[in-house]
Amino acid sequence: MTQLITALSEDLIDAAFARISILPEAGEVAGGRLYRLQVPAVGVALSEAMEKIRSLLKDAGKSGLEAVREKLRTVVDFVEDRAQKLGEWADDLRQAVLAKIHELMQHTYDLVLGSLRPRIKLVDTLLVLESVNLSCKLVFSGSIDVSLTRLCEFTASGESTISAKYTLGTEARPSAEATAIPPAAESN
Amino acid sequence: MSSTAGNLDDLVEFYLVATAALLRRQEVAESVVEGVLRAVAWGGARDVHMILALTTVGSDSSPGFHEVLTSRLGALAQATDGLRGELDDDRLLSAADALAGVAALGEELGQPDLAYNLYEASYHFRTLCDAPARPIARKLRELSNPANVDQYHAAIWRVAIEQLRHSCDAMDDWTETLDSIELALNCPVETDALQAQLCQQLKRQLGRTRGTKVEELAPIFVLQSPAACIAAEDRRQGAAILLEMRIPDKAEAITLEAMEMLAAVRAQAAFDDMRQRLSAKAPVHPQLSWADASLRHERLDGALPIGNSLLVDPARTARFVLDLIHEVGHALALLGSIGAHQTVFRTVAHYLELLLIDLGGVADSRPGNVRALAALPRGECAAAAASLQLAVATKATIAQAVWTPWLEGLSMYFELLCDPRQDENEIFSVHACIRSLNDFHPVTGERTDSQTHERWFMDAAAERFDSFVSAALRSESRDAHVGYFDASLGRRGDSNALGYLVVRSVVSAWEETLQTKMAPMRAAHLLLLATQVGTRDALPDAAGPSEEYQRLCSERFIDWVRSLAALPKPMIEDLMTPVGRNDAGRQWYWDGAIPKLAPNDPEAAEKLGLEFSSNLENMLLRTALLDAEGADAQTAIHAEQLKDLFAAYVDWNRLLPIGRDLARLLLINGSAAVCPRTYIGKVSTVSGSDYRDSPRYAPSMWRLTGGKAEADRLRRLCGREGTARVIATRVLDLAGHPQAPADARTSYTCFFLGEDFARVMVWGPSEDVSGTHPEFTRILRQRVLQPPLFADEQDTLGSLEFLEKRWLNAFPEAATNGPQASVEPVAISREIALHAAAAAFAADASGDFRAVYEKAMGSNSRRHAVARALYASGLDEEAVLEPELVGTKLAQYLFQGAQELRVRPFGRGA
Repeated sequence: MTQLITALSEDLIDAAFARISILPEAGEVAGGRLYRLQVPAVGVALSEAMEKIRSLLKDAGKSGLEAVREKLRTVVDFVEDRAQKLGEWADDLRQAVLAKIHELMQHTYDLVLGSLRPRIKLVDTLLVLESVNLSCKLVFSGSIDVSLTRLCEFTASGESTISAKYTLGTEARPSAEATAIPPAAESN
Repeated sequence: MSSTAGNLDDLVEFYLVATAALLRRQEVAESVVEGVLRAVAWGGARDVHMILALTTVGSDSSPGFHEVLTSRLGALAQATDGLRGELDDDRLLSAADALAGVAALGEELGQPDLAYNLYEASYHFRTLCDAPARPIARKLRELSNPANVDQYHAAIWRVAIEQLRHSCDAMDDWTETLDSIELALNCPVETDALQAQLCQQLKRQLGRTRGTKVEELAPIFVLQSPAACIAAEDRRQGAAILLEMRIPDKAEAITLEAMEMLAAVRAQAAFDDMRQRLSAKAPVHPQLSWADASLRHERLDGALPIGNSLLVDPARTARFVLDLIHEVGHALALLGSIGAHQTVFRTVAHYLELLLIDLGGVADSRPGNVRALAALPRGECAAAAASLQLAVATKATIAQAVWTPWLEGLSMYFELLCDPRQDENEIFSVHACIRSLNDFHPVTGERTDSQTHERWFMDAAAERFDSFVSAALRSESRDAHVGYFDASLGRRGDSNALGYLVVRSVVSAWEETLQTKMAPMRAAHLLLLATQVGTRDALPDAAGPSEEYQRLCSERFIDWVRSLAALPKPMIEDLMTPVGRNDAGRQWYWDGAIPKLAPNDPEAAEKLGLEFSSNLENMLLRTALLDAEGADAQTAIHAEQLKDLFAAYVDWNRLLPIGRDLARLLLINGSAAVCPRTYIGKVSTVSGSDYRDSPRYAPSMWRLTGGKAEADRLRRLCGREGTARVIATRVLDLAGHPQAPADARTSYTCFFLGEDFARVMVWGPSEDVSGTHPEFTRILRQRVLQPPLFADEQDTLGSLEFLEKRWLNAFPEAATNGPQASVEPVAISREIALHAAAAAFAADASGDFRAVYEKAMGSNSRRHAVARALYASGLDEEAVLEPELVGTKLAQYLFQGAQELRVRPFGRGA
């Protein structure tokens, strides 16, 4: 019985972001017109907010939840500030940000689980994944503040969060592969 | 039952008379007519067959005709027989069908009046058993006589009744139903009893709409239906409820009428909302077409600015006003040489299309009726014309692609940075245009003794407009900057963003030359002027060789921007000197790359203008390969036609329609009003909310003069045109049309219905000038109601893709050695934009700039940071370079330094 721990890296956050589309991709434009593909005000605010969240999560992953508390506050304030400015579109922004955070949570979760190899071969020993233990649960909340805090917690405490239990397998193979690192995302 | 029986006898007699008349008109012997009639009346189908077997009917009827006549009259005889005794729906319906059969025969025989009578009888049988009769109703509408108002309008009502019945049965076609009901409401029947009967039938169908998509129709009907439909007291009560007011105890008739009109207008808003919901369309991005400078915006899709609607609510219209500034900026920029070259290409392409239509032998080749050909005619001549057309369209597309980054950058500059409060002397022409779309300004404040009333009002109105735009700019500019640079816009958006960077760096170069900061508002004057009149030599000859066009076009553009950035100090100073409010304006022209003041002497100025236009005409003829000099008579005629067409196109592009609505024409109590829609209201949401909670349009009402006589005339006109809606639009006169009643940059509110109704108003609710300025009205009508040749021009004659496909379909052998390789406008735009930006920011290392730009802009957060830096530096907001950008090569290229966020001047290198 062996216990391995996976780590949440910056790459994982980028990979999760790569899986969500913040704005619908604009279609190609036919000729014959002076044409603006315009991002609506809500879209602009959402896009900016998501970039701030990306940077926040990376910091959280590096230096822990406590270190980013203040930054988290500024991100939440930023969203609220922009929402206020949007007037009658305010709720659209709040809901959109929340929806994207929830999407991010799902993808992060999926990526972490997906990154755990079902089998690990160490020289001539085969380890087979037996169980995964998540000590920190992702809670979907209706509040941006709470959702974002949970997500930060999750990324910040990566090491202690996920532990996977492997057991000795029966087949033995000569090749050796080791760690369980999530697939690298395309770096932007 | 007895009354039904009585009605039935009348009905039978009615159709027997019609049938007899039909036979008589076919020169059937009187004895035969009598015999047939008796046989039909007594239900002797066999007798009908026997009598007709022995007779010839009509002199030139086809052989099959005799059999058809016999069988249809036989069926009618049988159905008539069925009407005796106990009646049921089946018997009534078979009578209706038999009559429709004979009626169709009447149509074939060219007897619309008799066919109408027979269809009418058929319709009555269907109503007796409450059966759907939409096809019959449509026939009645088609065959009714416009001179007989009762008949003509009753047919309109029947279509409405049947259309509504159909929609309630099928739960479909609601929009058509709404339109037909509106038309019926506008076309009352003059005989009260008939009107009351039709109303009754319509109301019965209205009762079925509860819970459907059009359930608001029932209350609207109460408020808008003709007087014979509803008791005056009931309608007044309805109006009072809707308007949330009490009917005054001793109200005069005129008060009550005004109340009813107001209620009908309010009800119309619900009507329009219903229509809007039913025809929900995907929103369009703001755009201006190159071909005919037509402007589209989702808030103008079925609406137009009216009254104070543009400035009434900053929270809702700020973004929209800035969008308009952007698009109208394009339209104004295209008034100069860039637009003139496009018009040359367009005119030649259309002229060649007319030639091709002629060659193809299209039946109706009158200019008002032709459309773009779907397939090309064969033959050498057609191949030559089509090949030239394709070459011309290719050049047009290349010129568009090359200039797109600059024009977009320019309009972004106007939209994002031009605060009218920075300029106390002059109004920027783009802002002047937008201001003319607002009809009145609620002005407050005291007048000082030294001011005339007029000046006081104008100043206060200008102040209100300026502060609105200024506030809009301050609240929207930051987001708009970020929006333009956001990664979701992808590669296409990049050419616009790069164009903006180039514009900014040109202005920065001027600032360096002047050694002082320039207000964007002042720079905008010069930028627009240079783009309009300074581009005379910035485009290659339109008639030049195709192979070289793209290279020349790109080179000339880059050279032009370079020389613009390098304008010498005295000239910038001259051009920038503001004109005092009481001084005459100055005209500039460009001699090569050098701006010069146009001569004050009117003769010299005219000479200059003539020289310019004759150069253009020359180019036009050469592009069309017409040799006007050594020409034969035929060529000379072609040349004249081409020049006329060109002049008309130039004229039209100076008139920019803003918004277009099919506005309801309300005819209530002998007065008429048009109800166009304005555009305030929430448009879209990310999460999607119920449309009912957020009406998109505000109702507006426009009383028409002329009283009852005009209202009656319009009723007939609606009937003839088949619509209760007029085309409502606003047309901006960008350059001051010679025939126009007012100066340049005035907007006209226009209503058109067919050829017989036009209203053109200079300001909001002011006098109609269509009577005093018929020529101008004619031009406006042409501009608004475009002929079919221009319909969807962006997808036909204005689309290179369309022309290429059409060419290859007709001449597949040309695929291998075709006139030219296909061009990719999006790729060309991006390429030229990168090239220009490299020239601006990295004169010595252009290859390097491209790599740096593409790498750095791969990150969306860096894109945002660049956008915020441009916003802050453009509007003098305090800011320093964000951490994302500090130390990056891109920031070194674009900005002067980390502390000073100034955009690097054009060509000064990092």
